[in-house]
Amino acid sequence: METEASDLKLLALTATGDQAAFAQLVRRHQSRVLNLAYRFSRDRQDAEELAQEIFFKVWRHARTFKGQSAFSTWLYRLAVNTCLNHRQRRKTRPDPMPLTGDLAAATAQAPDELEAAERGIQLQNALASLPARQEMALILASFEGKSYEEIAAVMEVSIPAVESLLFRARQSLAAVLRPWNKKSEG
Amino acid sequence: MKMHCRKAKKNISLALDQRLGPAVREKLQAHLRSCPSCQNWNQRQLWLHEQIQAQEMIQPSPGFFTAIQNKIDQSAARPQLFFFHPAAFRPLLLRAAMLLVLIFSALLGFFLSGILDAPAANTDAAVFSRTMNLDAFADLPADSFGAAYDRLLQGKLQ
Repeated sequence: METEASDLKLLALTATGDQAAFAQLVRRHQSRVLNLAYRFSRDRQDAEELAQEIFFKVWRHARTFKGQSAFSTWLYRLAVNTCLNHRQRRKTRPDPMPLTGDLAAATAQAPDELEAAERGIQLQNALASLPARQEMALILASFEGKSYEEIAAVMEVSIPAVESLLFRARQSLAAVLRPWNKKSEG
Repeated sequence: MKMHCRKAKKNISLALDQRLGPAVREKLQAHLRSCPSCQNWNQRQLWLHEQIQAQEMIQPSPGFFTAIQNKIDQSAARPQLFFFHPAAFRPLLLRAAMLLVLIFSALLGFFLSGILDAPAANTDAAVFSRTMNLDAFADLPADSFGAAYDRLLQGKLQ
């Protein structure tokens, strides 16, 4: 509650052009925003650019915040929409993580570790194959630990829609990873 | 009532997000004990859930805030096309557009009504009158054949 109140105070100061207040707001939330963008883009440089764009929008639109939602909801909504628009503009699938690079680095690793690294890469590829909104809902639920109510507020959809997005995402992932799972279960 | 596999999978998804009540959770567990396919699906989902949560966190680069600052400075340096903030200008634009539509409609109305009131130069009566040169009978005495004929024709034309 205290954090929310002080976020609102900082945002109000940002709206008046107070750069020191804005800098403090950025420092507080930069890690969360950056990692959300990183989960979604799977590229560090893209994530940094997205996060910078998101905070630039916070600066520009600080005046338009009416207090009808919590500041964190407003920030996440801005972040989610920026990420989704970025994916829409690109309209290309992100490149999968380089398999050979990781395997080359792991030549001295035990077979279990090698298999784990390969699984991680396959998971990244599987996440990349999901529709953008399903992937975003999954990131918000599994990585950010957001409740369905929070996800619904951020993505501006109903709670049943959130349930559906998550179920379809998990179903798709399970189908894509099935050959690997069958092999490991042997 | 027994739980079907499709319902069980939906409940597994809800369980991952702590959305299941105790009664439904018990039914799900009972189903999982008897269904290897759903057990398998459950294991896969648990693994996926853990993997997503365990992904590395990154930190912003040293120049992160400076880059944001540069964007703000560049945006401030760009020439403004409007005196007003664009978002504030939209209601004014809307009102101006409505006023223009109103003025245009009024002018169109005046123009069209002017056309309708104009003498019907191309009506059948006017054409017949010109063709037959009926005005030629205008000076005849009231009881002459020509005047009667003229009255007859005028009556038919009316």
